[in-house]
Amino acid sequence: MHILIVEDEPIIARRITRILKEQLAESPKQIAVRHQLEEGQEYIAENEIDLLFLDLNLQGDNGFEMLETVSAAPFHTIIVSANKDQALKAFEYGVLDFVGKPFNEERIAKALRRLRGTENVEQQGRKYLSIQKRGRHILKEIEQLLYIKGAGIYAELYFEDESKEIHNKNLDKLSQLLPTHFERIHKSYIVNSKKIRSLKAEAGGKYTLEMEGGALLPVSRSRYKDLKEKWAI
Amino acid sequence: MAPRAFEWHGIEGKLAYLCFVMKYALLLLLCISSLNFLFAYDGIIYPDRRVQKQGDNPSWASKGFNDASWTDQELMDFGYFWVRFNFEVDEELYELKHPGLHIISLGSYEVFWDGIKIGENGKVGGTAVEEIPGNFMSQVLIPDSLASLGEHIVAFRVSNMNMPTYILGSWNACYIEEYKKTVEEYLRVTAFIFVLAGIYLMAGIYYLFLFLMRNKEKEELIFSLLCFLFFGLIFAEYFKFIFIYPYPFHITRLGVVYFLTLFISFLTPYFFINFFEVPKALLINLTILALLIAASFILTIGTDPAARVMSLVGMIASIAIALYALIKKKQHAWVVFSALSVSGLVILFYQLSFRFLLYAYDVTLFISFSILVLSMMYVLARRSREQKEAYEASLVLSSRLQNELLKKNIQPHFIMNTLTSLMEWIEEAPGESIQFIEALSGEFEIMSEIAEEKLIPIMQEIDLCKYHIEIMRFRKELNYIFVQENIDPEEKIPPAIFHTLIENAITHSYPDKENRIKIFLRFFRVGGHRYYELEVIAKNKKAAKKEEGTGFKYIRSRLSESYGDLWELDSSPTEKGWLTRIKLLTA
Repeated sequence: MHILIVEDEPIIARRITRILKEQLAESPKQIAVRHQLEEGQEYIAENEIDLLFLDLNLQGDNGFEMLETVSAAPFHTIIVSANKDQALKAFEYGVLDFVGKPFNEERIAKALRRLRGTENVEQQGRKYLSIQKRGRHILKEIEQLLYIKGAGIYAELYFEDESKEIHNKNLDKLSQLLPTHFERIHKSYIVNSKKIRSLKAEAGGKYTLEMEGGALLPVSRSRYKDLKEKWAI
Repeated sequence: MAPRAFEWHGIEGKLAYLCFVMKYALLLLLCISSLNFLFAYDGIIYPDRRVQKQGDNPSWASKGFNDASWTDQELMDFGYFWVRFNFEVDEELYELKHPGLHIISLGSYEVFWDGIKIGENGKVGGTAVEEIPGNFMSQVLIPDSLASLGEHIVAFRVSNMNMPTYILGSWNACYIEEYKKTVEEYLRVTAFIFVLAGIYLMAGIYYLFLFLMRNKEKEELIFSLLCFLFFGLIFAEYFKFIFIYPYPFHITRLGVVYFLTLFISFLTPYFFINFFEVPKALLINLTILALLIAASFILTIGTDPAARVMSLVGMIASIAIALYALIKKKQHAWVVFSALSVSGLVILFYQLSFRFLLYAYDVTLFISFSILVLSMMYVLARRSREQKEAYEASLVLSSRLQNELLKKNIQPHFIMNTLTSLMEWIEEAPGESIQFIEALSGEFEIMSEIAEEKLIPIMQEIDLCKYHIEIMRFRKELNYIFVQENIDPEEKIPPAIFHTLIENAITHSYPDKENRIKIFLRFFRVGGHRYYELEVIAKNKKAAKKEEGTGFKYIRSRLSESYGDLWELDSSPTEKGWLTRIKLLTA
């Protein structure tokens, strides 16, 4: 795992590094530390990282720009900040976790469990998905999203207004960021359960989900039973 | 500048003030309007012509006497005078039930209607002893048999032997009016005028108390004095309607009126000069005083024209000052200028519109006084409110600055980062972490000691800075070097000023190659002024920003709180780092 820590307090950066090394003792890892935002951005541009620990003071404009950039990126971001009142805002933009200072080893361990998906994360606070589009970042409202189709390392996002966007995170990573009413119906599809029109069983044991707007999506056999019960269709 | 304490606080004070101003404003307005109505002359027949001659001849009373050679000028002498009035009596006479002659005379007189004696006032005589002084104002009933339409001659035989020696001549006037109504009307006018006088008296006392018990504001004392003077002037002008006095006393009364008018005409512009803080005040005040005295010497001392000219000088000077204030965009200049202009217009209007000068001066004076007093009261009240607001704002500012000071150490960016670093120190190097905790407790202790102070000893400030630097040394693992030069331990400084500058320096600087950031704090005096210099030797993080952060706002507010305008702050990048200079001026 390739991890970058952007933190201007050297002792705190050292602390995160130390805890990560302890927590990830078993796995192969590479941990880099940068003390300035600019240096951090350079590192991201030059390296493919899997996880970013970011000390972000969201008071200034730079903070939000940075938040949009990192949340549209293919890797997950964990904010480490002294200003806990900004946690909600950070979640709205789509970070995996927000670790308030001061933190202990257990808190970093919990963030890593979230990353692995072994700890359920309540993501009700999320409002937007930040998407990189022609070099710029745009914010799309999550509630406008109908369904997501996996496309290798990317994901295709289909919205109510019939627009389609590409997100740099893959389907698995996105599923960690989405609220609980987004359901996996197929290895390649996640749907917004609030926007479903009907669930149909077709000849040949095929199951199809019709979304608002008329899109027909395949439902895997293993998920069909679950969904039928859950949604009481 | 910290305004002084006030007697009135809170909403009750404001309401009381408002009620006070409103009450008097309404009363004054009432008086102004009633004056207007009272002085609208109806049913008065004025003479068409007045001529006079010195000497004594019984035939001068007759209707047929040819007085073409007589003069219409005042005669400046002692002795016997005759005065003849021509009346053209028309149908207006029939509106009067009992037509009477209303007479104002500086002398004892006998009065003849078409040659027939109809009354006398005192006893006319050739020497001061022989003469019995008549009353200044008097009424004579015109017998029904003589009151007819057409031309009539009213002739006075006058002597003025009891006039004070410094006044020459006699002055006589008369007109026909309802005999009874005249008395009634005087009383009505006087009643209203005395209500006005009462208001001035109360306002004078009230503002005297304000002056004595509150802030000893010069303008409030001047205003109080003006109110007393107005009261005195009104009384001096109008007690003639209540106390009928012999004519020689009229001169004494005019003398009193003269001095009252002199003071009023001087104090009115003096008030505005003080209120608007006009430069070269002494020179202007002396000029106005000289003009006033010159005006009264050119005209005869103690006569109505002198008082009128003095009022005019005072009025013009005040308008000029208001105009100056208006040009200089002083606060409330607009209100004062409008009020004075309206007063001026009222005077102009009445001067032009009255055929007979008897009441014009008095009326205009009192109407313009009322407007003047109202405008003064208004600006004083407004200023009082502004001072109170400024005082409250300064209290708010002080508590805001206190809050800001306390927040410095509990704001999350500082405390959470410090605590996180501290956790790491405790886990990794427990021995050294004790020093870290000691530095932290040191900074907190000083912060709590200075939280409510506006000025603290410089050594305490330096200790605070040292503790902060120690904390940051543990957090940043940089070598901070703090050097103090020529500090005078007796000096005081607003709390956390240098602390704030050092915070900024630590946030915005990179260390040099040896991982050092050097901070110098210097003190020196030049020409009685005190200087502090805080120099940071380090690499600046970004190009110098123009706008100031909250840190500098805090410093500026603190300096203003303690030193008013007597400070300067310069902060700019240098080749070696950053230099901030605070200059504390000596008043």
